[in-house]
Amino acid sequence: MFCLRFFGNLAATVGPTVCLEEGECVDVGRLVEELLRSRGEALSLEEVLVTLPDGSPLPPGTTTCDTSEIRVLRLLRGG
Amino acid sequence: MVNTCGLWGRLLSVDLSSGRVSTESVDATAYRMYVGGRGLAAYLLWRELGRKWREVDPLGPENLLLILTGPLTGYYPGVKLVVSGKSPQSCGVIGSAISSHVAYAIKAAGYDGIVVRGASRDPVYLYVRDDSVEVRDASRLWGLGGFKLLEALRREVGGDAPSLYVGPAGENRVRTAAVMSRWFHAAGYGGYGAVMGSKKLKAIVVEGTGPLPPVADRDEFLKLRHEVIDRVASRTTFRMWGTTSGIWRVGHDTSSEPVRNWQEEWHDREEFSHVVLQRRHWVKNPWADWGCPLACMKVSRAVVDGVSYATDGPDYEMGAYLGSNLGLFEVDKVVALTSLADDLGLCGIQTGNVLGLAVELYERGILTREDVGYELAWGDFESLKRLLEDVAYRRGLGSVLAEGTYRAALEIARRKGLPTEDVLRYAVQVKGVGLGAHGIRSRRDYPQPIAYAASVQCGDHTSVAGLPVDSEESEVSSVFADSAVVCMFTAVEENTMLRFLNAVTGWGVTREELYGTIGPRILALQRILLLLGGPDVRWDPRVHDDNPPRFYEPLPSGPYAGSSASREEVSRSLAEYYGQLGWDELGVPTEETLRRLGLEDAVEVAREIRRELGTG
Repeated sequence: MFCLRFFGNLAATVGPTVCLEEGECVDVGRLVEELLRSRGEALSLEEVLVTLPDGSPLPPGTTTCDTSEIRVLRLLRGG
Repeated sequence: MVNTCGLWGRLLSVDLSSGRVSTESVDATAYRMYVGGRGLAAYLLWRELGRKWREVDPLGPENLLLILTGPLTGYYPGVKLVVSGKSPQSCGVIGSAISSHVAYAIKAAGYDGIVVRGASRDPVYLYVRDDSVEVRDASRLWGLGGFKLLEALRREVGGDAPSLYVGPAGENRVRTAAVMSRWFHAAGYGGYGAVMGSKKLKAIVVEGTGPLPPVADRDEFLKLRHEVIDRVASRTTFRMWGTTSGIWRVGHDTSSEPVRNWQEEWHDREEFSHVVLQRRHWVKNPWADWGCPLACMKVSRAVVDGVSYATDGPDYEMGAYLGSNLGLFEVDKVVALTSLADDLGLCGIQTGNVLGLAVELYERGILTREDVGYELAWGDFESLKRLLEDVAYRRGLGSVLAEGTYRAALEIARRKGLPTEDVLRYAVQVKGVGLGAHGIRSRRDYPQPIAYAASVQCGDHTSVAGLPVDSEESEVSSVFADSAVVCMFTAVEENTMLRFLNAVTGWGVTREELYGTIGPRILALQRILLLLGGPDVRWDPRVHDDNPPRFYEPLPSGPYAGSSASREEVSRSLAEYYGQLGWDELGVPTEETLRRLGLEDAVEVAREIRRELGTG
C-alpha cells in the first residue's frame, strides 16, 4: 500500500489521504502528477512539494517501492 | 556586534527630523526570537511604538519606516528585503517583501537594515556608501516618476547604484502607494510608499562594498547553496513563464481570478494569456535580479496610441488586477496600465482593487459622471488610465480612491448618504487591505476559506492563514520566508530551508521551534498590533475577521459556477485556527500563550483588548 497525504485545499479536493495498491515499483513523481490530473487539479510537479513523511526532500527517482508514504503540498503560494 | 553569524547586529538609523545619523545594535536574543525582516519589524515597532500604537498616525513623523534584511539575505538564492512600519492600510504591521539589489547592498555596507524616523521638511534622499551616510537634497527629484527618477539618480550618484524610491503616488501619501525598486519591483502591501512620501524621503540609495558577515558552517552552506540553485534552476516551466501564465490558468483553470471587481472569477479569453504576451510583447525572457537562479521575470514592451510602455511580465497579479479585474483583456493595454502604475509608484494590486470598486459603483449608479468627471466602463483603457493617474495625483474622485478600498467605500457611502454596508458589500478587502488575486470560492487555488479573514497581513496573498497551523499551509510558512527573508519562488521544502538557516546562523532552529514558538510569536505580536489599530480604524474580530461579502455570493460562471464560501465553514475554521495558535474565541492571544512565547510585556495590552471587546 502506497499512501499520499494532501494538505490544505488539495486535501479538500483530492482527499486528505489517498492510498493505492501498486503492483510494481512506480515513479512517485509520475504517480503524483497522474493522480492530480485525474482529480481535476491543473498542477505540474513544479507547483507542488513532494516530501517524505518527515518533510525531507524526495530523492530523484524515488519509486513506490522505496517509501510507503509521501506528503504533497502546494509549493507556489502566491504570484 | 551580535554574537551570531549571517547578521551584523546593527541597523543604520536616520532621523529625518533632526538629520541625525547613527547606528543601533540589535541583540542576539532578539534575532533568535524574531529572526529578521518581518519578525524583527514587529519586534522593533512593538518595542518603540507599542505603548502608544493607537495614537500613532501611520503618515505622521512618529511612524517608523523599516527597511530590513534577514539572516538569509545575500546567502540564499534570490535577494529580497522587507519594508515595514505601521501600515496606513491596516494600521497593523505588514511585512512587505520586495526583490531588490538594495537588500544585498545594505548587508555589504555593514548593516542588517535601515530605520527611518521623523520627517524631513523638504524632499531628501538618503545616500549610503558603507559607513558614509548622507541625507541629500531631493528637490530636483521630487515629482519624478520611476523611469525618469532612475535616470536622474544615475547622474546624481554616478552609476547604477541600487535604490528604493517612491513615485508621485508616494509623495502624495496615497495609501495604495508602493516602495519601488528598479522600475518594476514593488513592496506594495501595507502602503509604505505613502509612509516614505510622508517623510519627504524620495529615495534610498545604497552602495555596499564590504563582505557579508561570516557564516557558521561554510561547508554545509556551500553544499546547500549548490543544491538549492540546482533545484530552483530546474523549474524550467516557471522560468519560462514566470507567474504570468496565471492570467490564463488562474482565470480559466482554477477559476479564482478577479474579473470585473470579482463579480466573476473565470474567463475564457484566449487573447488574454501569457502566450500572447510572449509572442507580441516580451522583449527579454528570462530576466532576473542579482543572484536569482530562477529568472522568472520578463520585460514587456507595448505601444498604445503611439506611446511606448515597458514593464515586467506583467506578472500574474498585475495582469489580473490591471486587466481582468477592470474588464480589460487586451494585453497591450494591460502592459501600458502596469507600466504607468510602476512609474507612478502605485501598488498594482491595491490600485486595481480600488479602481474595480469605482467602476462597479459607477455601473450600479452609486457613482455618477458628475462624481468622476468622466464616464467609467469596464475595459475602457482611456478612462481607466485617467482614473489611475487621478489616484496617484489625488485629483477629484481619485483623492477618495487614494485612501484605498476600505476607506474609499466608507467615504463614498458618507457622501452619498448611504448605509456603509451598501457600498462595503462591493469592496473586496479585509481590514483595509485589498485582496490578492487568488479567490477562495472554487477551492481550486491555494487560499483556504480563512486565508484572508484570519491573516495578520489581511488581504496579502503572499501571507495567507491556513490549517493546520503546524504545516506549510499555515501563515507561519510566510512568516519564515519574510523573516529569514527569502523569495517564495526560490523556496524549497522547509527541512532544507531550516538547514540553510542553521548553516548560516548556527542557531539550530528546529521545525518544532519554528511552528511551535518562533512563527506563533511573530503572528501573536502582529495580531495584537492589528487589533490595537488606530487612529482612524479599529477592527472587531466579530465583524472584520471575515471574507468580503462578495465571496459568499455564488460564482456566476465557469466550471465551478455556484460555488461560494460557506459562512459555517469559515466560522468553524476560524475557531479551530485561533485554538491551534492559543488565541481565545475572538482571536486575541491568551495570557498563557503570550507568556509561553516570551511576550509577557504584551499581556496587559491583550487584556485591554479583551476588555474592550467585552470578553475580558
